[in-house]
Amino acid sequence: MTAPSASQGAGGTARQQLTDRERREVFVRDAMPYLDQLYSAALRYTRNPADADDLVQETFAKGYAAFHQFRPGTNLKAWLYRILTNTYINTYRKQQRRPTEVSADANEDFSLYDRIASTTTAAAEVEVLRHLADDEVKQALAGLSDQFRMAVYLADVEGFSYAEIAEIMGTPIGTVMSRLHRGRAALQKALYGYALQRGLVPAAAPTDGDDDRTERPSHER
Amino acid sequence: MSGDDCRQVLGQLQTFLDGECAGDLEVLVQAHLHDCAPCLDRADFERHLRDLVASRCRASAPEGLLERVLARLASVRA
Repeated sequence: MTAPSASQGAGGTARQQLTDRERREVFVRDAMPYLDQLYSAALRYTRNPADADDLVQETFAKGYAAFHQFRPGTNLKAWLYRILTNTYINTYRKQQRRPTEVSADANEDFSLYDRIASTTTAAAEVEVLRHLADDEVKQALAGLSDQFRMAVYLADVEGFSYAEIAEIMGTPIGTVMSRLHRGRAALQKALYGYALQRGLVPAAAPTDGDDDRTERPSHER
Repeated sequence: MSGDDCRQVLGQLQTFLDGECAGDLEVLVQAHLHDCAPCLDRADFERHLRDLVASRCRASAPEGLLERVLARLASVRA
């Protein structure tokens, strides 16, 4: 079957053989419900709406072109996320201007809970979370370097299992666990920075210094 | 209450909250959290934090993206 005549409909073709149009309909029906989710991930990956828009288009185009390789009955959502993730890593990441990123390595065991608990008397831990602004949470995630940001996003926002994240990121499960551990610690550290800045928690006695707290431009001007 | 049990449980807390603890361990952590208020408090905090990240970091596709994707698909040979 050749492409130019495909739009003539399925009438005369063998049942097993989908026309281009039918194949597209199946893909649109099955894959398009993930549009919002994939865009959301793309936005957190690229950290900017224009790139996220492009990345999503590219992901669906690639997914469609490779749809014959997808085995029906397996996890289409994870399959699409894998394409999204690979596309981001291989193209967009390289050309992006990146904000200052927190390398998660240094703060492997940071616990926001412990920090808040050590500086407040009341059981204020959850209260502090409630007072964090939406943008502060987004910025804290955006400040993580790629591998950590993607792992944390896939686990905490999308709820993918370790095995799924391993498949999406193309890494062993042990690597996923380590990235999650370190990524979450770095995220908590960033949130602690915002909480301090806004006086949601009192400044603690200087225990570990300021060596790894990045300077945050809280106001543009 | 903050003995070896707590240390062991807190060491597994993230894995537990991720729903990735093996059966025996999951039961053990669950039982400990049931009996140990400080550990439960911490577990609740971590849950809240995940919920916070999940709810704040979701976004919806912008107007027109669906149409742009569909137009793009029309030009792709599969």
